[in-house]
Amino acid sequence: MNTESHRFKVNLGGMIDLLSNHLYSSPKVYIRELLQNATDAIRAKINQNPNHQGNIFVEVIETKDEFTIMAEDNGVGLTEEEIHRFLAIIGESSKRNELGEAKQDFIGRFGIGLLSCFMVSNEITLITHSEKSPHTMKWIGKPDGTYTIEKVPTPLQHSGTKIYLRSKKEREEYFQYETVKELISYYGGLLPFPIIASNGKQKEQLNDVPVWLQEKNLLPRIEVLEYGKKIFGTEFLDYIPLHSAVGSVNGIAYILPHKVNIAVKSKHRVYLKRMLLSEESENVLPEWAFFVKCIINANDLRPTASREDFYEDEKLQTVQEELGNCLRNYLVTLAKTDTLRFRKIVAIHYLSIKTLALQDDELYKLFIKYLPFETSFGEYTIEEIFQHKKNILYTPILDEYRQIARVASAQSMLVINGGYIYDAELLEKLPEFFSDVTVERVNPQQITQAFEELTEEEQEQMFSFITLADKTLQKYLCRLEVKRFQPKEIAALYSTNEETTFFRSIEQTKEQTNEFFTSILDSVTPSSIQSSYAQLCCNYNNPLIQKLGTTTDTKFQKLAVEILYVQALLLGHYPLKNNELTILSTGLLQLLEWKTKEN
Amino acid sequence: MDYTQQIEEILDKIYDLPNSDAKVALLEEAIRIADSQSDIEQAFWLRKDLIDAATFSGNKLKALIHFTWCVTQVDKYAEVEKYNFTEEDILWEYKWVLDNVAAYPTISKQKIYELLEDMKRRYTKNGYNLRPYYKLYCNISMEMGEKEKAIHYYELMQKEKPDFNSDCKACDKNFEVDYYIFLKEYEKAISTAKPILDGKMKCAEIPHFTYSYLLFPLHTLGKHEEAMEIQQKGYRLISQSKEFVLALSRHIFFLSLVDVKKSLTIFKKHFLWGYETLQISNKFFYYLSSLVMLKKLSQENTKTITMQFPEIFSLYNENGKYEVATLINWFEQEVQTLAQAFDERNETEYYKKTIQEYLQYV
Repeated sequence: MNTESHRFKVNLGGMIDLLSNHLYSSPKVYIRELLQNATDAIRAKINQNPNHQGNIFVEVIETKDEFTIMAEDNGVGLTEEEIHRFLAIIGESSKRNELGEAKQDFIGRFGIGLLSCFMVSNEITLITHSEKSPHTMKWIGKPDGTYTIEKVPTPLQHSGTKIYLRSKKEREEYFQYETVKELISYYGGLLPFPIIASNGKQKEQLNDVPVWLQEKNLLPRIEVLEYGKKIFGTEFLDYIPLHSAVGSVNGIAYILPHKVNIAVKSKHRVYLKRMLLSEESENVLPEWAFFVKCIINANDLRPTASREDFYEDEKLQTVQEELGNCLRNYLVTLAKTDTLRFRKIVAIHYLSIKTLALQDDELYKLFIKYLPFETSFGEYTIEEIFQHKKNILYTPILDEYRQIARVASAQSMLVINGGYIYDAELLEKLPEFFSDVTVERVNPQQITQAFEELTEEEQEQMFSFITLADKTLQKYLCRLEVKRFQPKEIAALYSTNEETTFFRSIEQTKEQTNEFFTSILDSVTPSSIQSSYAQLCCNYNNPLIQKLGTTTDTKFQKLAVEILYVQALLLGHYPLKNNELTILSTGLLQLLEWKTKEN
Repeated sequence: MDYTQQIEEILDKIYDLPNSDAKVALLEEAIRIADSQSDIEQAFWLRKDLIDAATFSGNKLKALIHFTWCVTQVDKYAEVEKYNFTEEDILWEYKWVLDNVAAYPTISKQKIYELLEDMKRRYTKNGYNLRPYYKLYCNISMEMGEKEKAIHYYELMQKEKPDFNSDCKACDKNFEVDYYIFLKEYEKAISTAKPILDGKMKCAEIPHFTYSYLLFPLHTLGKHEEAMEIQQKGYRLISQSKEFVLALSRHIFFLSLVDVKKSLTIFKKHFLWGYETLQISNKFFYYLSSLVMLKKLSQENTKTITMQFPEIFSLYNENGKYEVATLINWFEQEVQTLAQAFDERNETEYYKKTIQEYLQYV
């Protein structure tokens, strides 16, 4: 038996539906594809004749119940043979390196691009004239895949192409003159050839070369910032010129005037060969660059199939790095030349800069002094902290910082909150860069240890109270001490460390879970945290504590210390466990009873 | 200030933070406030946020603890009209919890299976298929070194189509890669990983983990350049978060075979993550890789190293100089103790054999 080879038959109507309704995100892109074809034809013509002045003309004609749009260019045009070759076979593109041009000179793929017009029109008419032929050709394509081709009796005077589209039912909105103008400016606003639009009455040019694409050594600052405001609707702090030889990329990064969520990637406006590719590109800048919004044009990067972002390949990665270097160099220079603006940027974008500083020693050196930290004295930069002292104390845990902050400033002790993201790591690195600086990690219990001890006499006076109170608090896994500290209004200070807080949260959770999950919690509780104690440090400077020490009523002392304990917990926002709640409900009643009896 | 305002203020601060200890701490603070006011509704949603932040910042034990609270409240109150949460709201997080549960040798095998069955019951009840359940069963079997079971559940998993509660494509693909590596089918693992390596599939944790998994297979197959390339790319992705301590251990192991100095640098930089992690299986792999690295150092005649161990480290000394031989002893003891705990729980010899496998490269 002979083996025969067959070809798949493809249903063009189905293909068109697939491409136009699934590949592209909106019918609007038909304008982009029209502009693209025109641009490609003009570029091909310029390749043949470098002095050629390209232009594009788009006219919207409104009749009773429909619209026609005509897009005209003075590019190369097609011969009959080229029409058969390029317009009849999908996927074949005149731009692929036919016509003797380098592949990268073209942004679109004619065949496929033209198909998008079927999203808005049931017929595409194309009239085209090439210098290679004396004839002007008329081609009419239908979405079912059929087409006709004929010679036009009166040939065009010069090479070029006109495309006519008649609006499809319920697609008229995409043919409204205002909409068409808007779409042309949106996609083609940066194209290097004049685009003229007309509604039959008036004519207007819709594009202009923006200031940042003009080849100037020094960009006029105000104009560049104005441009950013026009495009993004924001008054930016400053701008950074972007350039990468790889990918032939130019652009501007605008510095955002407000804090940004670093978990959300910023979206950039990107052009490929001056045609808008996306307003939501996420991949042109490195991840840490969340403090800028940029607009760029690339002449040599690859688009994705839907042409709505750049394709992620190695070239794009190199571009990312190059553009990242532009941002970095800008910051380095600014720190030296314009301290005021530099500080302003740091104050807003310190989170972003902190990430950068951790990854890069040079940037660390540059920035660290200006970065703000939360301290027990208020918000200080490292520079201000150094003025105060060179022995840096910090706590890496937010909860511990909260406990410390309440008393540290009263003891004139500067403690930094290292609980915010990156802060502990940044602080730990200080001694590497400043030889006279030491960094020490402290916890609340170390702070209370540093409080002033009682004298022998005072100790003796408080001895029986301390013994009894300490024993009373045993069942809450808490130790008791009496010391002197400021401010005297605080009667007792509850302090924990990471382990005790963690253990406490497990114990508390267990009280609220069912038997099965309680048993799971039991088995995962690390043994290392089960023996850790919290601490209640009573303040001898507080008159109430002194009185408690001198009373001989042990029942009252016991009750009072439990209430002090619960009160300290409540002050620190610790949810109470069942046995602690009992103190609240019964202890207070007992106290009242005791007081009324006394009276 | 009203307590809801206090919580709002905390949530404002969280808004621009990535998952981190800092974010977890702030959420814990907010939860404490909600708890002390017995605001169960608020406490539930805050805990959901916390479970997310804790899972993706290397605090998985905290995620587990708060998850048990959420499930219990769902069982108690899901039918009560005034609460907005339902059982559906804990199904996704259940996967995270089970994904990690075998990491604690103190939790018995029976309890793990009971958890799996509990999850299965809840998925079925709410009309979701069992793809995630089979996947987790397979994963747990892999972690315990039970090959037949792993194969069985992997095949069951493949028969179920992904639905609303299934993991993302990148995570599923990464799991396939891990599975083939477990079976030691390295060629297959590498070809399976192609869409991830090409950047076509990715998420918050992928390709981070995939890169680290593939280092050793690539090395074994002699694809040295590719291995070095993804080592560099991969390390950049994982070096900022202790969530990736397991991935780091794979880098340390791989580098100790090809560039022991670099391996030592990474070990020094991230020792605290391995030392402090409460996910014991991660600690095991971190220590085991470090042991291989130290033994390689010793083979190359390095007698001492200088580094800043934390003060709580039992061998800590102030001058920062450590005998390599002493460190080897310490790590050897640790990995043996951990392996024994896991093998006893798992009723296999998988961890013991893993030690032997790693050490044969020394």
